[in-house]
Amino acid sequence: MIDYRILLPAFLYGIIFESFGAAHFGFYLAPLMVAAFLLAALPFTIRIANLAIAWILGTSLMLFLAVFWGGGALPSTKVLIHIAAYLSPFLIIASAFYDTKR
Amino acid sequence: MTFRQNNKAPGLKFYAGALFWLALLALIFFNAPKVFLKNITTKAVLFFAPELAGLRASRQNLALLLRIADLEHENELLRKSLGLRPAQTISAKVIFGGGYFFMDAVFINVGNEAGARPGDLVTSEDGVLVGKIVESSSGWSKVLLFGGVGEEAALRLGKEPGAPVGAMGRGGGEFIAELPAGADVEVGDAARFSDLPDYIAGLVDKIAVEEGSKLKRVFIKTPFSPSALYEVRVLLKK
Repeated sequence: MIDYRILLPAFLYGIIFESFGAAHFGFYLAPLMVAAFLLAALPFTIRIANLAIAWILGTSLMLFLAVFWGGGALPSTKVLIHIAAYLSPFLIIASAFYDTKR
Repeated sequence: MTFRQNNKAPGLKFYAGALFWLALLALIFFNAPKVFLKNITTKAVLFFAPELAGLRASRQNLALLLRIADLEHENELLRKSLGLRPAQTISAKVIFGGGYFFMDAVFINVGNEAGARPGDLVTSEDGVLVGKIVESSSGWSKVLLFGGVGEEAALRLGKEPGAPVGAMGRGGGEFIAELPAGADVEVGDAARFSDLPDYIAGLVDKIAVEEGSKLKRVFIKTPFSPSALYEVRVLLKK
C-alpha cells in the first residue's frame, strides 16, 4: 500500500528545490522520491531505523548524481553540507506523517 | 442472479493517488508541467520574500531607497535629453538564495521590466563576476552562480595566463582543473574566464600532485561568499 501522506509532502518539498535550485532537473526530486518510497515500504517497526535508512539512501543517490553530473569529480564540501541540509528537514516532515503501524 | 458483494466505488484516496501518479508522469515526460510548477512555486515564495526584506529594512532605509530610485530615474531622463547612452548596468538586491539550502542560485529583485534578460552577467558590488541570469520575469530574475556542479568553463591560470584550460564546477563556487605537473601555478593565483578576461573566476585554493603523475589537480574557489551577497549589478547586453 502506497502511503501518500509521505509521498505528497516529499513531492512538494522536492519541487520547491527544483524550482529554486541550480542543479539539473531531477537532482532534488528523484532521490527524495526514492527515499520517500523506501520509507513508505520499509518493514521495520522502529521508526528511527526506517528514517535513517531512507536518509542514507537519499544522500547516497544525491551524492552519486553530483559525482555523475560533475564529470567524476567529488563535489565540494559546500555541496555535501547542502545535500545533508536538504534531506534532513524532509525527515522531520516525513516523521510527522509517518506511522509504522500497518 | 448473483451480484458481487465487494463492489465498492473508488474513494477519495484512489482519486488522490491517480492524480498524484498522473502529475508525476506528466512532470517526468513533459516540459509544460515543469514550467508551470516552477512558475507557481517561484511566484508563491517570492511573494513573501520582498515582505521579509522590507521588514528587515528600517523606514529610513526604505525612504533612502525611494530617493535613490527617484534620482536614478531623473538621471536617466537627463541622459536621454543629452543624447547619452543609457547606463549599461543596473543595481539589484538579492532577495532569495545563496546559502546552504538554496545553493548555486540567487534571485534578484530586477526583472525583464528593467531590461534584465537571460544571459546577462551579474557582478558583485566589488566587480567580481558572480553569475549569469538564466530566467527573468516581472520583478525578479534567477541568477545561476558560477562554479555549479558540472559546469564546464575555460579558465586562464597563473600570473602570466597562457592557453585556457578546461575546468569543471564542483558546486558552491568551486572549480577543479588538471594541469601538467610542471605548470607555473601557485596557491593564491587568479583564474580568469578565457572569454571574459576582465573578470576573475576565482583564486587557486589548493594544488594536489600525486606521486608519479604527470598532472596536478588545481582547486579554484570564487573570491566571494554567495551567502554574503546582498547587492549585485546586472551588466545589460544592450
